[in-house]
Amino acid sequence: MAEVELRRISKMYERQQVVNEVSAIIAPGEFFVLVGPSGCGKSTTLRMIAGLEEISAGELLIGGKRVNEVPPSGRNISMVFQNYALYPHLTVKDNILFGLQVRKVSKQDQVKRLEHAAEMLGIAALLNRKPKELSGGQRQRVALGRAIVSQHPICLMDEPLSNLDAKLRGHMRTEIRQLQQELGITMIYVTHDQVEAMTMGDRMMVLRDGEVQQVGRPLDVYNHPANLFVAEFTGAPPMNTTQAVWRSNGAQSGVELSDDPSRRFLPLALGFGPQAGIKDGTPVVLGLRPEALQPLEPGAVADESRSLLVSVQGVEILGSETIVEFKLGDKLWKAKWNGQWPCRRGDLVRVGFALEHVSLFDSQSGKNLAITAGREKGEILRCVQ
Amino acid sequence: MRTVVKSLFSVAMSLALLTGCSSGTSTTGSSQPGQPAQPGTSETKPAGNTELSFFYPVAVGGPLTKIVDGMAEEFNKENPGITVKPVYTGSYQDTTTKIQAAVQGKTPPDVAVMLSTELHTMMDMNAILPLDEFIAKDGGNEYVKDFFPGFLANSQVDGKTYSIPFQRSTIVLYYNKAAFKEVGLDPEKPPATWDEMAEYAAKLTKDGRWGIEIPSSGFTYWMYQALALQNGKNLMTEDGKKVFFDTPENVEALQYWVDLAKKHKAMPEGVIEWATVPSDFLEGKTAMMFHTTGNLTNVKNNAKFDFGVAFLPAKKNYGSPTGGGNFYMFKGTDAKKQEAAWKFIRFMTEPKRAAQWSIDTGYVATRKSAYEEEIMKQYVKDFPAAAVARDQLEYGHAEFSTHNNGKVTKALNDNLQAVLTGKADAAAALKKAQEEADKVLASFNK
Amino acid sequence: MGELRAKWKVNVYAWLLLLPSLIFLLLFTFYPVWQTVILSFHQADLGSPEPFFNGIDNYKQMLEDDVFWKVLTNNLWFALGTVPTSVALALGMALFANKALRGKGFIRTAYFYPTVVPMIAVANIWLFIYTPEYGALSHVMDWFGKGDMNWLGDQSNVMWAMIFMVIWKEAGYFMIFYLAGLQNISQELYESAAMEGASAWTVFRRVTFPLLMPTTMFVSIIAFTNSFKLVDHLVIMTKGGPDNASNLLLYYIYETAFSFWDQGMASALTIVMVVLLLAVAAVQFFGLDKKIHYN
Repeated sequence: MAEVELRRISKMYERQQVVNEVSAIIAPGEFFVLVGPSGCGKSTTLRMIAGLEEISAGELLIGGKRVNEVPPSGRNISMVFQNYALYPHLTVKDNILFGLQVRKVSKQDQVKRLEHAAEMLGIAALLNRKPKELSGGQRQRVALGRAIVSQHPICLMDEPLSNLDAKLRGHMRTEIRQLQQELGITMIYVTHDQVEAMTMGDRMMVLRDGEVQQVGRPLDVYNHPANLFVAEFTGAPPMNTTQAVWRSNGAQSGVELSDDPSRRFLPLALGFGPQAGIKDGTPVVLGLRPEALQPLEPGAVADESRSLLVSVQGVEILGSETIVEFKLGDKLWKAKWNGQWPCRRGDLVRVGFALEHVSLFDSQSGKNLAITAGREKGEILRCVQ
Repeated sequence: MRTVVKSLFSVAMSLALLTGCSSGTSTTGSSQPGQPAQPGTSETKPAGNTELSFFYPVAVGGPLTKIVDGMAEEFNKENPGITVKPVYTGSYQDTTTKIQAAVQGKTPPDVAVMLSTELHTMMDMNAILPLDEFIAKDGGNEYVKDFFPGFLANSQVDGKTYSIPFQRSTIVLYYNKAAFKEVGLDPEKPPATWDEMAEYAAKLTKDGRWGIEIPSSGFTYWMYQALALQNGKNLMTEDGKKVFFDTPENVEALQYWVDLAKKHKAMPEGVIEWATVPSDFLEGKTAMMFHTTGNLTNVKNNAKFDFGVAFLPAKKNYGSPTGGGNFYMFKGTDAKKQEAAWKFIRFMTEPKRAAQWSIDTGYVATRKSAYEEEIMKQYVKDFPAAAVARDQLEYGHAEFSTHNNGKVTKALNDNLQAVLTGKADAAAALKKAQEEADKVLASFNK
Repeated sequence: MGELRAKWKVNVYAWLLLLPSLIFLLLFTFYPVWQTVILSFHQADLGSPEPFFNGIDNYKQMLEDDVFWKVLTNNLWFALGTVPTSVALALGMALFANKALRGKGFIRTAYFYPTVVPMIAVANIWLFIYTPEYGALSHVMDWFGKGDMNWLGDQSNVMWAMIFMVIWKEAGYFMIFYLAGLQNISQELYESAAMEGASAWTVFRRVTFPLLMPTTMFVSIIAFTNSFKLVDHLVIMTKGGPDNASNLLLYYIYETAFSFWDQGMASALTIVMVVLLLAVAAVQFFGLDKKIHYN
């Protein structure tokens, strides 16, 4: 079986730790995304799985067998490179068949697999062209074609969409995901783009400076980021944050916004406070996702503790939604509202939020203070047909 | 990438064209690789000063440019109205090429040293001045007669004198006295005949040492000419219009040369490099060698063993060709400059200076009176070998020189080398050389 | 009308921009070539004080000239001996120098340094190496009991000696082009091949070599023209001897022009050489070029 297991895998260059004890078990048929900003070690991790980089410490198991010392070709893995790694002097056909020819697969079998892949990818008409005669998307498909004909149960992809324009990227996301499900292969996919991670992955692993930040299903990660870094990394626009101090004085507990000149106090009770073991005066970071901040009707009764009166700094109307920017203390916050909101700079608006959307992070460690037992399971709304 | 390769290619091609063509066109006069000395940059001399450009080559080791420049400076001091500007022009071949270009560009040097054998070629080009007028005005034949006839032979055609001998050499036999002793030969009795030389050479040959080496690269014809002279007469007529390569005597001479290697096994087979023969001798890799007297100082300074210098051995008679460079003057320069140039030539060939030049370089002093000079007498006394070359000059002859000298010489050299490398036999090769030379010389014999 | 005028103006401007280089090209390339062509139809040697038109006599004579055929065949052997070997060696050295982890700089310098040495100096060095009895090569040959091999003085050895020396001199230079070519090949291609488990030989044959073809093409042309251009060493080492065994076309042109002073013949020989080089280059460019992949 094509299960991939990483056991405390590390990579050292000279004295520099690039990947630090990364562990994960990737199930057969799973679409697993390694995501993080550049330099976080995601590509290095992938290359260690591929066998292109030596593993400095830890163990890599594929199908239950240790493969640290097995050369790339012995790992039953295919790989799609960032720049597709197409041989510029070979035709599409020869590019796709290169691996099969090397592995001396029979001619008949080659033809069969080629036809199958070309049909799946819709590139049958391009087989006799050279890579330079292809568009970016077509090259991408050829690279996928190679992975398909190899019939390896595991496929690695290193930022395969980064060279495509936005529209095509969106299209290819779906296509790759579909392909993976159709073929039933295990996919380990590296990207710096959290949208790809959210939309494509069964699970994602967020990395930063070679350390694992969080592993989980995309929505779990989104809704319950393990720490401030993950919170700010996921979502577009990312989560709004601001410095605050925890105040707990008897019945009322909540946060005092340190960046706010009026040092506004927001009472937070549910799930926080003594239950979470936060001491009075602890510096914390308060986080709210843009879509959690919704406008209140002008006439509605404003609950001071669940709303903020803010002055609009900027507006982006995107058609289906509007992004409203305002300042909270010295931080620029963004709110995402459905529909078109013709606000103007300087308008005063009151935005409200629900208590359950508030996240609190330890300002020192960045750890999420509010992950409760109930929420950890995560309830993702099913799509109702 | 494709365009880059194409443009790189076109650059490379045009370079090839340029280099390919410049060799062809520089002779047409459209360009002048030789930098004729530009007059008009006088510094301190008064108006009416005559400036002379003087081209000279250097063909042997040592700081010769310094010596020549020093002599020119001395001349300038002694002659306030004249400034000689010496221009070092490389090898003999380079010098000829540069002068040739300058002549075609109508800016010939005022005076130059060139190979004595360029005589006929330069006459064909109508480039050089006969010097008889100057000689007549300046004391007449007394001056000319003082030069050794062997040297002067390359200067004169049809009773006219075209050049004055300057840095002249001849071939002598160098031998290793220690090696002679080692094999029981009398070190004071070098071989005097061909038979003796072959016999001695065979005796001297042992593992790691040859009996004799006669160089055969570059100046093949010169060495061969020595053998030919010893077996009778010179290879060409004085007027340079006829050659005698394929006479039975000359075939015999070549056969003797080949036999030293093939029959007597006393000399390496194949072509022997001119420049390595003296090193071979100094290293003890050969016990005897034919080489120019120009190497005398070199051998004297570097030999770690006792060595001797002797006449080249005789067959019918002793014989050795001369070699080296003479002073020439060129047509197309103005009369005043010609006067000055003649003065310079006279200055450079004064007995005292000829003697010093000989001591400094190893060239043979060109004039009999030079050997009467005190410094020369002393030098010969201390180093008797220096006199051998002079004494041999009694049997010295003009160096091989004909019309269209380059081509005739090549025909001879090529065929000699063919024989020496065992690709042809002596008689056939010399016959071929004769035919080729006759063809080249045909147009001069009309 | 106005449009025509504008177009004319643009053209004049373009020509003006081209003028300086055009003048140099005319003056130093086309004019000399033209002069050479003209002179090749003249008798202009020592026997004829004024050059006169003699039709194709020079070319006829050339065909009957044994030495011409000898130097031409020599030159072809010389090209055949130097071009493929030096190019192959350069490729090998580049692959090695590119791979070597330690002493990369040293290896590159070591390979490259013969190129920096002027040909005249190289010729002098090798003159010593080839010296019989005590030359460096003779010491090596001594172990085989052949210390007295006369490399330059023997007609059958001398060409090999020259070819070997020129390969030594040139390979390092060509290596630089190959190194640049190798740098241009994406590392991804090699990694991709490694994922497929392709052997080093397969990778070379199917990836590296085809992708280096533009470099190979360029280098071969340079090597080929060099085999006709490099004659400096002959002046120092053999003067074309023994008996023309090491003589090459360009040196023969030099001899004809500056030793025989036969300018008509020298021009005719020059034309032959130029045409020959152009023909070979044309074959390489318009024939082989189509089969080469360019990025």
